[in-house]
Amino acid sequence: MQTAELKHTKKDDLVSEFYHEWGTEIDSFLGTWNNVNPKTGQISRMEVTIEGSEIFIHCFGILEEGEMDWGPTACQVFSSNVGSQVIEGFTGDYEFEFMNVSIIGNIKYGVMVVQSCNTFKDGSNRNNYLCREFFCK
Amino acid sequence: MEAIVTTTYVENSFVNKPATKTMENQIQKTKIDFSYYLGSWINSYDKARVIGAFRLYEENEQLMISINGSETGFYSGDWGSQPVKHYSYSPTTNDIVAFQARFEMDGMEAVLAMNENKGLLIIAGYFTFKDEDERSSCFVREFFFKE
Repeated sequence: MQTAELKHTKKDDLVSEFYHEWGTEIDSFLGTWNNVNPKTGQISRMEVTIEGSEIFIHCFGILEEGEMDWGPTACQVFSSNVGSQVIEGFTGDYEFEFMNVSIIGNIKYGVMVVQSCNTFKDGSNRNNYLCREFFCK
Repeated sequence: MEAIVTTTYVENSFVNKPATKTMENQIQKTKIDFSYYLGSWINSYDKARVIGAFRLYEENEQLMISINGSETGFYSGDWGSQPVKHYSYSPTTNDIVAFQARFEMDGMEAVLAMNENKGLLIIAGYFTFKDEDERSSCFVREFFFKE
């Protein structure tokens, strides 16, 4: 296939030789990632699993006492470029009755950087907020 | 006769206002609690370029660091221990957020600037090779979590 024939919005959308295939570097992404901040008020840990061809993140929110199990949610993974087989980042969404937590993360040098966009929809007038924290295996 | 009161201020070089170095600040400096930092810190990256792990500890009321070079790095093995200078977020607080240490080793000098960010200790290292060593001086930034 002539790469220039592919539809694109910018030159980095084009593949140089081959399309990449997921899976070869998934092992470094799978497993339990723990928040390195012992004082966090956010996500205490995240489990990353694979079922078939689908990847899930499973988050636990820290409470005054213990954790709140958010359950697993499917995530979408991203490479650093269209030809790379290394997973660079991911997104996932949690839709609770009263709020939405949209998660975007990336991994570098063994650190998973997780940003959460927290949107309240319960009319409580709490400010929506963004948080950025670090996780290690 | 009217009393003449004179006040002498020492200007900080980095802020355009009089320094507020009070007795209270001096007392606070003697009460710094390093317990959050004390212990072993592990490099998050299994192919660490320089430092594999380090330990922060107190010895005779001096904060110290001992370092183990990464097996995959360019200066492996035990680096020994050196004193650590500590830094607050501002001149008027004692919330320790950063450190500095210097190692003189056979063939290499290492200047380490460390800062804490949400549970990670981040080391920015500046490495200079000595004598006829033709290796370039280099900069490495690595990330550590507490064991």
